[in-house]
Amino acid sequence: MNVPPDEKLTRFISSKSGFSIANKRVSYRAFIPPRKSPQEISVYRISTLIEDENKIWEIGRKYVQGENEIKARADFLAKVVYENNLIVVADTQVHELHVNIMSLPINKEDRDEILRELALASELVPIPPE
Amino acid sequence: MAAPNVSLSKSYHPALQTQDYRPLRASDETMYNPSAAADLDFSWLTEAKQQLQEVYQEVMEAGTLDSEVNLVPYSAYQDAFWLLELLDYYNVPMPDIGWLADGGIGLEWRSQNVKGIGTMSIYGDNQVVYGASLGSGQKVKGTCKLTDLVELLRFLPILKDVCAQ
Repeated sequence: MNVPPDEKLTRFISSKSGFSIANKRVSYRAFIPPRKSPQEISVYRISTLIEDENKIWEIGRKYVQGENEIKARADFLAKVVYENNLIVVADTQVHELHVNIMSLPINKEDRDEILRELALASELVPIPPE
Repeated sequence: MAAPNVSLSKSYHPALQTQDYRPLRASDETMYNPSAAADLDFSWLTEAKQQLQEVYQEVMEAGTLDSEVNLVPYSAYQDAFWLLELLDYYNVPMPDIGWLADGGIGLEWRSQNVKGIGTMSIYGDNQVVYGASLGSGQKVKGTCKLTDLVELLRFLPILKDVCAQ
């Protein structure tokens, strides 16, 4: 599966630390993967859902949200992934639109450099009130 | 004609000849007596400490709800506070403070008018992972010990540049 550079991807954010409503910005912290999978960033392809925002949030609520509620999402183009020499790999076990960005460097200095670029390239979309 | 030999009194104050008299302001005191700056509250440290406490609360709540959340070690808060004191002392603007999903504290600065960003990640292991991307395309990154003031002080002006852009 090839994800074209102009395809929109989204990272669901469930921590207040991942964004700033006041500044309307996504933080680099939103992209830091957990220790169990330090080289992958879990995201969803949303270009086919852009006409219906509700469907995007539905994925977040149903497949990403645990006990910590989704609060926002970071939308960005796949182009920025490729520009940083990473790849987008399908991981459709959970959902057909789920993909992982791989392989983040283990070295935190190099990893954070890429996460800063992802943050700069992202648009913050706060979750609408239900 | 020779200039008149006029001796100025010790209380001579040139500013008074060109400006209307005005009461002494805090800025005057700082200018003439730099040590007085310590008495003026230009520090953001109190607010940062409060944010750090809010981060602690959020991590604890997130950890209670989700066992997969990596708790931030106490030493990371201590290191973050030490670093915040340093940043405040060197007049770096206050960062946005938050926690990292892999168990750290992340500080972040952003430019207002261009795409600039600076970050510092702290994990409580006496190390600082730092980096910045300026609007001009210039990038810097590094890792150093929390006590390596030489390297840290090289990075602080870059953070100021990020915020000034």
